[in-house]
Amino acid sequence: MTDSMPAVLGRPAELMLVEDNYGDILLTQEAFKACKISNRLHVARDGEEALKMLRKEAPYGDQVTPDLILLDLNLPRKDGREVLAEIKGTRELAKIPVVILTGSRAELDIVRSYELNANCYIAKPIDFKQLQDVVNSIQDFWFSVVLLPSQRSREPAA
Amino acid sequence: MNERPPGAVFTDPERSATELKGDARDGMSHESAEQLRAVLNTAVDGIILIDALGNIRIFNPACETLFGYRQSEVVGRNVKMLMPAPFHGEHDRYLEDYRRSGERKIIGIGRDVEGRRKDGVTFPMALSVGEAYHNGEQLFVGIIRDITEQNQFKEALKEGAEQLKAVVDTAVDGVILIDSRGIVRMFNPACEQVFGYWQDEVLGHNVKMLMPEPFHNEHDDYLENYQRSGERKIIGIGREVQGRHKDGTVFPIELSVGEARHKNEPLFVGIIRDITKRRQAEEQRELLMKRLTESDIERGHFAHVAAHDLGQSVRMVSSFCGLLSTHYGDRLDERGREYIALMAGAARTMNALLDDLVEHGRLDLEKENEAWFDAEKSLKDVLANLSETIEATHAIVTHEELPMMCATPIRFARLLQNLIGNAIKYVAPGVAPRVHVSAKTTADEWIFSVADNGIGIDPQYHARIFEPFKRLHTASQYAGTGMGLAICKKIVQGFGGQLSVESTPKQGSTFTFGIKRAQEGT
Repeated sequence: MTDSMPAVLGRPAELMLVEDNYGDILLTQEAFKACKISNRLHVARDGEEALKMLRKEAPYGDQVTPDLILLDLNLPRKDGREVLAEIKGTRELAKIPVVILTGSRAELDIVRSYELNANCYIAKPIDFKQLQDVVNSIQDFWFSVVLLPSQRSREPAA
Repeated sequence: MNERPPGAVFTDPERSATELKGDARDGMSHESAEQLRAVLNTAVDGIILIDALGNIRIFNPACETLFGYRQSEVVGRNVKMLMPAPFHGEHDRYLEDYRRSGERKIIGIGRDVEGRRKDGVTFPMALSVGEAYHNGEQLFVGIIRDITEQNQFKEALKEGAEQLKAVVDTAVDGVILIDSRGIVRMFNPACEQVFGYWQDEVLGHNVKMLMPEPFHNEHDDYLENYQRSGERKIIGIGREVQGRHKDGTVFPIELSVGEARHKNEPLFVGIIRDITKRRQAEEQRELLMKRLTESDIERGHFAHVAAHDLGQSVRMVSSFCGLLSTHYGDRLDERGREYIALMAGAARTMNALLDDLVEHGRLDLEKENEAWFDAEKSLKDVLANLSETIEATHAIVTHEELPMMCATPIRFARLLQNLIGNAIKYVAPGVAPRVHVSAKTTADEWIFSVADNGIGIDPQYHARIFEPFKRLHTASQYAGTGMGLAICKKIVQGFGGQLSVESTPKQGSTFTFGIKRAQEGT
C-alpha cells in the first residue's frame, strides 16, 4: 500500500467531484478506482450541495475539506461558474485547486473559467481510455508534482 | 414773354433754324437754339414734330435711320405716311377727336405702336407724345424708339419662362418657391400630388403649413436665423425631413433647397420628393436583415446547445462502450466484442460530426481577430499536425513560399488542414498521395491552391461538395462527417473570398481560394 500513498500528502487524497450526470460520476469513479494513488472521491450532485459540503453546513458537518475539486460547468441550480466564483471569492476555500472537467470545448467557457481563477480546464474525453489517462495525469500532477499548502494551514484558525 | 402752356418746349426749328439766328423775340436765345439743334441731331431716339393737322415739321437724323426716309422727303407731309394700317387711316380722326373732345389716346401717355419704313416694312416702336404751343399754335412732339430688339428679348424671356413653367409643371419632383418670410410663391402640380393641397390653397401662405411639428413652429426662426447669421441648416445641402399632408398625415420627404435672388430679395427653391415608399422598402430590408441575422444567431446557438447536449450522450455511449469492453470484454464472444466496437465507432463518428457542427455554427457567431502572420509558418504547423497521417500514407506534400498575410490565423490553419487532409485522404487505394500547395499574391488578393493526385470529383458534384453533410462516399470507403468543405467554404467567405474546385476524375483535384488583401500596416 505504501507505494500507492501520495508522495506529498502522506495520506489518501481527498477529492470532491461536482457532477450532476450519473454516467459521468460512474466513469470518474471507475477511473479513480484504477488509479495508482489512493484516494477518496466525494460527490456533490449540484452547485448548492458542493458549497454546503465545502462550508461544512448541515448535514455536512463532518465533511473533510478536499485537496482538489473537480468541477463540471453545466450544473442544475447554481452552475459551475457561480460555484467557482464563490470558491475563489472565499478566503478559506480559495487555495483549493479547482479543475474544471466539462463537456464544453467552447472558447468562451475556457476563457471565463480562467478569468474566474480556475486552476486548470479539461474537456471530458470521448472515450474511457482517454478519461483514464486524464485522471492519471490529474493525480500525477496535483499529488506528485505540485506542492500544496498543508492540510493544517487550510483549516480555519481555531 | 408770352404765356406758354406747360409742355411747350420749343418752337418749330425748321423755320427757326433760320429765323432764330439773332431773333430772340420769344425769349429763346441763339445759344439755346443751337443747343436744341444739337439735341435733335444727336438724339438716339427719333424725334418728330407735327402740327395740329399732322404735318411734319421736324424729322431728326435718328428718324431718318428708323424710317429710311430723308428729312426732305417727309417734312411738310402728313405724319400718317409713317404709319401702317389701321393707324394710317385713322390718324386724322385721332387728331380731330382730340381737338374737339380733348380725349387723350396717346398724348402724355406713350404706348407701343407700329411704324412703317420707306421700304414698307413695319416695326414695333415705343412712342411718347407731348403737346406744345408755339405762338398759339398747337404742336405735338413724338419721341420714337425702335423696340424690335427689346420685343425679341421680351419674347425670348417669355418663351424661357414658359419653358421653365412647363418644366416645373411636369416635374416629377415637387418644386416650391418661397420668399424670405416663408411665403409660398410657386407650388407646382407635383407638390399638389405630394401634399394634397391645390396650388390656390398654398400660394400666398406660409410654407410652414406643409410642415409637422416641431418644424412648423421653428421654421420662421430658421429663416430669420439664416438671414441674420448665414448659418445653413439645409440650404444648399438637402436632407430628409418630414412633410405634412392636407389630411394631417406626416410623411418622409427628401428636400433640397437652393437660394436665388430676385430684385435683391432672397428666394428659396425647394425640390421635394416623397420617399415614403423608399423608406418603407428600406425599413422592410432592415427588418429582413435583422430577422435573418437573428435566425442565423439562433441557428448558431441551437447548433451549439444541441451539439453540447447531444455530445454528452454520445460521450456516455462511447465511454461505457470502452468500460464494457475493458471490464466485460473477456466474457463476450468475438461477435459481442464486434458489436461493442461498432457502437463505439458510431459514437466516435457522431462526436466528430457534432464537433464540426459546433465549429460551423461558431464561424457565424464569433468574429475572431485578424492579425498579420506568416502563412509559411502556419503551413508548417498544419503539416506537423498531420504528420502521423502523412507518414502512414507515405504522402509527399510540397509547397511554394507562402506570404506574410492578414487574416484570422486559427481559421487559416484550419482551412489548410482540412484541404490538405482531404487531399491526402481521397486517393485511390495503394496510391501514395502527392499534394502541392501554391501561393500567389496579386494586387488585391492572396491566392492559394491545394492540388492533389487523388480520385478527383465528377464535375456534376462540384457545387454539392461544399454543402454541409454532403458526401460522395460511404464512411467505409472514406471516413468523414461531410462538414469539412462546408467549414472551409465558410472560412473563406469570412475572409471575403471564394473557394472553388477544378477536378478531373481519377487524375486529381485543385482547390483554390483567394483572400482579400489587407494593406500592410493595418
